[in-house]
Amino acid sequence: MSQPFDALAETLLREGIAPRHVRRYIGELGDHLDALIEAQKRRGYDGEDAECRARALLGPDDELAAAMLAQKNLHALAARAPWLVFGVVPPLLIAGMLAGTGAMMVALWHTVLAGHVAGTGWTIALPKLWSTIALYAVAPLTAAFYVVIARLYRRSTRWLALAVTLSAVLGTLITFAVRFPNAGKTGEVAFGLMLSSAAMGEQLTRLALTAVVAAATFYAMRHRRVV
Amino acid sequence: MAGQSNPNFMAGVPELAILRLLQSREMYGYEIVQAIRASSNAVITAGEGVIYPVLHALEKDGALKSRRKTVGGRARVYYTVTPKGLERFDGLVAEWKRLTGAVHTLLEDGHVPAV
Repeated sequence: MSQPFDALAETLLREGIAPRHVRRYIGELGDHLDALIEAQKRRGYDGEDAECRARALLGPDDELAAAMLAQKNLHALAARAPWLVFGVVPPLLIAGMLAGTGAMMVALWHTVLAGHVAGTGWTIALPKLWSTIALYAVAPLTAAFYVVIARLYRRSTRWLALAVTLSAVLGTLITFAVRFPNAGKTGEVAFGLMLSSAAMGEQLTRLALTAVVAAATFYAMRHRRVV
Repeated sequence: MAGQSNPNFMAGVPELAILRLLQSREMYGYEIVQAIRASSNAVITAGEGVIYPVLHALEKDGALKSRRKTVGGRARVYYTVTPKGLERFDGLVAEWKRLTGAVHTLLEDGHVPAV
């Protein structure tokens, strides 16, 4: 069902106001409108008459939108610097997530696992499983995140396409491996970029997975009311 | 003039009024608008909803802080002025006095200096 300030909210989001400020503005306007309607009713106006007078006192949508748009510090970073949010952050996000996963595994090894799995098959299997999951998950998660961000902040499809493409390409080419200390060898966390014919099948699978997850998220978000 | 909106001359006035009113006690948006209307004999008017972007921007700048409070089953956002807001108010008052002094001089003297 359409809400009284839906059109205003949509205008503000498209013009780049941060969603949290839009949500709060719409909420406060709703409360203010209720208070104005009550005040009009106390003055003797009833029903539609009271609502019309209250809405007029609150101000027309274009005046309410202009007042918000004039406040430059309420504009979202995704609107002020989309090249940064959609062009620079995705690779950093992917690298950061993998670095975080690596750090988590190292910490877990030193605090819990070393005393239990050292010298067993798990010393090899566990980090391999973990790094494979991370490698398959980071790019699709990043792409899905950007689909949500682009929808929430009402940014254009070309910015979304840039972020998803960067995520997919990086997710395809990146390598990530964690090895726990084993048989006298020290452990390691390794990152890299590689296009390998030997790993072509695996890389294409990751590329396809990212594309499918991004497309599915896009489809799911398409008709959803998001403010 | 009362009841008419005059946006060009009103630039900065809502901010000044908000910072002044919130020095006495915390208020929510509707209360602030009614207080401005009452204390200015309805000379300062505009669509009542335009107060919120000013409140949000002042809060973002650290001049105000807000808290949610439930009153009569309704959650309201109450605003209070911060020390930074008080400093900003003093600056705005000084600027306002300088401007009104200049306009007053212009209207009273009507003196046109030689260029």
